Amino acid sequence: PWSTSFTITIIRFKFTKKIGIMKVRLVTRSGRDIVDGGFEIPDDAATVDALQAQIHSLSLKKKLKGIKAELYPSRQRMTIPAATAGGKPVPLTPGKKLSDFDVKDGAIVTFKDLGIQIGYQTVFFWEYFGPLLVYPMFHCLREQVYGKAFTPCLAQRLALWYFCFHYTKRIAETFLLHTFSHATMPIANLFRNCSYYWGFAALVSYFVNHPDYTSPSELRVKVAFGLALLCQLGNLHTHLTLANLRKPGEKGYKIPRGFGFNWVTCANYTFEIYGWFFFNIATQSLMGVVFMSAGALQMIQWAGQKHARLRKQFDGKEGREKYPRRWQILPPFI
Amino acid sequence: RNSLLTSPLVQLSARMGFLKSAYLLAYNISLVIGWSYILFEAVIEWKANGPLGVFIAVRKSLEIAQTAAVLEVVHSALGVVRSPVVTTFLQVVSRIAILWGVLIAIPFDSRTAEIVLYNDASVKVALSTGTMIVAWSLSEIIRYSFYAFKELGFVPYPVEWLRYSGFVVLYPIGVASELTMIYCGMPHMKNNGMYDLVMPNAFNFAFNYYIALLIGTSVYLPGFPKLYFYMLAQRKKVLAAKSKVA
Repeated sequence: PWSTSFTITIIRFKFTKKIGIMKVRLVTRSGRDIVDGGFEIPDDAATVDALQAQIHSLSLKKKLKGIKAELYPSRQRMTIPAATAGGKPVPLTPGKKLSDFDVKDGAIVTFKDLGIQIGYQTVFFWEYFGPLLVYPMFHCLREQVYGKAFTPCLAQRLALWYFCFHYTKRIAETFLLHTFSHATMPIANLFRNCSYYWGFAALVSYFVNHPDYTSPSELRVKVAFGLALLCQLGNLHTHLTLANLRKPGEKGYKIPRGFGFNWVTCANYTFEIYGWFFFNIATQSLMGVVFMSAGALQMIQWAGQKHARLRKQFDGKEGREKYPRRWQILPPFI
Repeated sequence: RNSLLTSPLVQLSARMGFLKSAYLLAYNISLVIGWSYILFEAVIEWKANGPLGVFIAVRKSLEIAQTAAVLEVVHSALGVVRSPVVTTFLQVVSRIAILWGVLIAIPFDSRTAEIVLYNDASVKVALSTGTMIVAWSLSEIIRYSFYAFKELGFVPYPVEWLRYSGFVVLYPIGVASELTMIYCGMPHMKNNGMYDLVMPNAFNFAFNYYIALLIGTSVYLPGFPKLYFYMLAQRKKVLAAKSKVA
C-alpha cells in the first residue's frame, strides 16, 4: 500500500508541469531545436504576440541556435501540425491566444524565418513611382533618347497623361485608401515587382513615344482615351467600395455589392483591364497589348482565388449567406 | 460482383499507367541513342579535322535530337512527368534559342568560331561548337539514361552519380561554349539586320535581333550561377542521403 502510493507520487512528480509555466519546443522544419531545452512561457502571457516578442528578444541576445539575424515578429512564421494527417500545418496568427490553437505544455511548434521583410506600402510606392519617372523620360527627353527632335502627336501626349494619371492614382490609393491584411512581404518581392512595372513602363514608352510612331485617327484616339478614363474612374469607385466594406476593427471577408460588384467578383480588376484595353485601342502598340495581357493573366489568377474563397466561405449553410452567382473577372468569358 | 481490383476503372488506369511508362521509356531510350550518335559523329569529326567543323558534321542529327526536347515541356504541362513546367520550359527554350536562334539563324561566324583560352606549343584549350556539342551530348546521354532507368524502377548507382556530378564540369563548359557562339555571331547580326522589323509599321513595334540577343544573354547570364549552386545543393542532398543509406 505505502509503496504503491510512493511510486505513484514519484510518477506524478516526474510528469507534473511547473505551476503557471508552459514548456514548448521550438524546432526548424528539419526538426532541429532552436532553443535548447525548450521554451518557457508563463501561462498568463500565453499569447502568440508574447511568444513572438520573446523569440525576438532571444534573437537579439543571440540565444537562438543557428539563427544570427534579428527575428522581428513579421519575419517569424510559426506553425503547428494539422489536426488531420496530411493536412496543411496551421499557422499561429498574432492577436490570438496559444490556447486557441490547442498549444499545451509539451507542444512542438515549427518555426520558419521568412527572411528580410519590407512593408507593403513601401513596395507599392516604389513600384508605382518608377513608371512616373521612366515613362515621361522617353517623351520629355526624346531628343536625347531617339537622337531626333520632333513634335509629339496627340496620341503620344494623351498617352503620357494617362500613364502618369494611372500611377499617381495608384500611389494615392496606396496611402489613402488601401488597408493591408499582411503588413509585410519578403524583400525579394520589391525587386521582382519593380522590374515588372519599371520594365514595362520603359518598353511601352519607348515604342509609343518613338519618332516613327504611327498614330490611329484623332477621333479614335480621343474616344478611346475618354473611355479609358471612365474605366479608371470606375476602378476608383470599386476601390472605394472595397475600402468601406469592413468597419474599422471588423475582420473577415464580406460580400462586395453595388456598381460592378453585382455582376463580377473582382470588378476592380475588370475596370483596370478595360482601362488598358482602351489605352491600346487609342495607341495601337504591340508592347501595350503585351503589357495589358501580362497584367490580365495575373489578375485572372487572383480573381479565381478570391472567387473560390468567397464561394467557399459564403456557402449558404448554418445561417451564412450564399454567395450570389457572379462572373469572376471578365464577363462574358470568366 | 466485380471486386474493386478488377473493376473497369482500375483496370483502365493500370493500363494507362503502363502505357505511360512504356512511352516514357521509349522516349528516353530514343534520345540516349540519338545523342550517342551525335557524340560519335562529333568525336570522329574532331579527330579528323579538329573541333571547328563539328557543328556542320552533326547538324542534322542535332536538329532532330535537340528539337525533340520540346516534347519534355509538353510532358510536363500534361502532367505525364512530375517536373515543373516553368523550369523545363526555360531549359528547353535556352537550348532551342542557341541552336535555332544563333547557330542556324546566323550563318557564318558563330558556327566555326572559337575562343582560345590557352595556347602553347603542345596544348590548345579553346571553346567552340566542338566543345559545346560534346558537353551537350554527354549531359543529355547521362540525363536521358537516368530517366530511362527511373522508368524501369531501378537506377544503378554509377548512373545516379553521373547524373548528379556530371554537371559540375559539363555545365560550365556548355554555357561558356554557348556564350562563345553568341559572342562570335553578334557582330554579323549587327551588320546584317536579318530578321529585323523596323518602324513605322502598324504594330508600332520594332525588333532588332542584335539587341534581342543582348537582352537575352543579359537575362541568361545571372541565371547560370544561381542554377549551378542550386544543383550543387541538390547533389549534396541526394548523394549524402545515398551514402547514409549505404
